[in-house]
Amino acid sequence: MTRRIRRFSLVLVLTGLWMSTILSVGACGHKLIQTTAVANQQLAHVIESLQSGELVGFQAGRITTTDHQRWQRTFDQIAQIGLAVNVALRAGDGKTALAQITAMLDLLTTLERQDAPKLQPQDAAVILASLGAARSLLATLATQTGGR
Amino acid sequence: MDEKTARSVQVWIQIGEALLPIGVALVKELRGALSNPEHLDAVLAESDATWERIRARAREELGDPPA
Repeated sequence: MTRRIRRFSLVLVLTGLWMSTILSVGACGHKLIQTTAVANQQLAHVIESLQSGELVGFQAGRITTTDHQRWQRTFDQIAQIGLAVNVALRAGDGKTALAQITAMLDLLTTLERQDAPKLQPQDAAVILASLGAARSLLATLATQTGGR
Repeated sequence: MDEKTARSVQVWIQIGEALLPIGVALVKELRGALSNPEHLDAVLAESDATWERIRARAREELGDPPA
């Protein structure tokens, strides 16, 4: 178990470093809107793969209907926020985009703390890697746009 | 290779498969967006489409009517 946690931590740290490097290179001054747009687009792909991973676990009977609905409801909320980020970006409103990104980060944190620990090993690896990637992406963005 | 190691390797391959295309796409899109400002519209449009797809799938799973 400790070994698995260590492995997951390594994946999360490496993913975070990798994404931070990419975003740091791109995010400067007026390029920030573009960088945030690209990050939000990639985040959508990460969440989509996370959603697929969760669905596989549910269809295999490893995730209960209640938990499945919680995951899907959160995906729906995250997607709504993702759309709102794009609206803000189109308007050039970095402040609102940041507020949305922070809200998304909170939802992912809840998933990580409350729902991910219930996952079985078959689903945990892929889902946690996607969650970690999404979280790192958002945390980097929040920092770059002046948030926490 | 024992069964446990084989399973572990398989999981790492799955993680790699899930993350690698995302990384490649991120670098490609970032390079495109930074070199061509008009690329931003295309990025936002694709992003919207993906978020809408996620919403549609979630609502389908929840048995909610489409938004």
